[in-house]
Amino acid sequence: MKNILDRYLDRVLIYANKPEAEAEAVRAELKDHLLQKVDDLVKGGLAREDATLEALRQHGSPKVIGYKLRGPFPWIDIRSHGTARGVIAIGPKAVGVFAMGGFAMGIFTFGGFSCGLVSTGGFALGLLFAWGGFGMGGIVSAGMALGLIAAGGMALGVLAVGNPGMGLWVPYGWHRGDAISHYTSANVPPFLKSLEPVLNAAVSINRYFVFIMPLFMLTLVALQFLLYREGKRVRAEDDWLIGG
Amino acid sequence: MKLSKKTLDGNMDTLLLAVLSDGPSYGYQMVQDLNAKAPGVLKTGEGTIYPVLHRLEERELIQSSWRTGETGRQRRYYRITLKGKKALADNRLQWAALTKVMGTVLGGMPAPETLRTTTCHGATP
Repeated sequence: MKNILDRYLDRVLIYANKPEAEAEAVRAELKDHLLQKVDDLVKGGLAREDATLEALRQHGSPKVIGYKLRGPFPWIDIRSHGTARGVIAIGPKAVGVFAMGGFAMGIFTFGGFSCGLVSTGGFALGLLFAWGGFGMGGIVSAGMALGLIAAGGMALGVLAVGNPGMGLWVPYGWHRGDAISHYTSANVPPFLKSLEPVLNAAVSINRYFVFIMPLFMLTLVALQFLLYREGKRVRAEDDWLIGG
Repeated sequence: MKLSKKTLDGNMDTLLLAVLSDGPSYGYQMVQDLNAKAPGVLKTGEGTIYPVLHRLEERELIQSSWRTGETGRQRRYYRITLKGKKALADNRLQWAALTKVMGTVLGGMPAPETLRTTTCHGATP
C-alpha cells in the first residue's frame, strides 16, 4: 500500500496529465521537496506522521498544482474542474480557439453561455455569428435575437426578421403591422436591401432547426461524455482522490 | 497588508528570477529564501513554485540540471540564464517605474527622489 506522500503525488500527476517520463521527473522533484520538508519539521520537534501531514498541507492543493503544471496553452485541454485553456478546450469553463463548456470563450464557442466570434449555445454572444436560445451579435439567429442582422422568435436589429421584429429594416411583416420597421420597401436604402440575402440565410438556419438541433444535441452529448471520461480518469486511481 | 493571490501569481516569475540571481538553487531552498525575505508570499502553497519554474525553463530564462543532493537523493537545481538576467533587469525597471507612477498618482508613497535612487540601484543587473 502506498504511503500518503505518494498518494498526494499521484494526485498531482493525475491533474497534471503529463507524459510518463516527464511525470516521473516531476514526481522526483516534488518528492525531494516534501521529504526535505518532513525532515526539517521532524528536526523542529514534530512526530514524523504529523510532519508529513503538515508538509503536504503547506505544499498546497494537488489539484491546483497539477493543473498549473499543464502546458500553458496545449492543443487539447480537457478538465473536469476549473477552466480549460487550449486550442481545443473542454471543461466546466473553457477558453480556446474551439471552446466548449458551461461557459465558453474563444473563436468558435459552444456552451451554456458562449462568447466568441462564432457562438452557439443557450446564451450566445457572437461577434460575427450567434445561434442559440438567446443570441446577440453581428448575424444572429436565435429564439430571441439581438444584432446587426437578426432573425428569430423575437428579433431586434439593424436588419431584423422575427415575431415581433424590430429594426431599421424588417423585410417581412412590416406591411401587416406586426413588425416595427423604420424603412418600408419603398424607401429602404440600397445598402440594407443588398444585405437581405444574409438575412435570408439566417432565416434558413431557423428553418433547418430540425436538422441542426440533433447536431447541437450530439455535440452536447459528446461534450458531456468527454467531461465524464476525464472525471473517471481522475477518480480511477484511488477513491481517496475524489475529496478536496 | 496582505497581497492578493492575483498580484502574487502575476509576479512569481520575477520573484523566482531574483532568488536565482543570487546563485543556483533548488525548489525547497528557493521556498526557504522567499519565506525568509517575504514571509507569507507562498500562501497558496509551496508546491506552486514548480509550475512557475517549469514555465521559466520553457522560456529559457532558467536552466535545470539533476545532481545528487546532500541527502543522497537526486535533486533538480536551477540557474538563471543570460536571457533570464536580462528579463529580471527589465522587470526591475518596470517595477521601479510602476512604483513611481503609483506613488505619484495615489500619494502617500515614498517621494519620487527616493524612488529615483531605488530605480537606479534596482536597474543594475
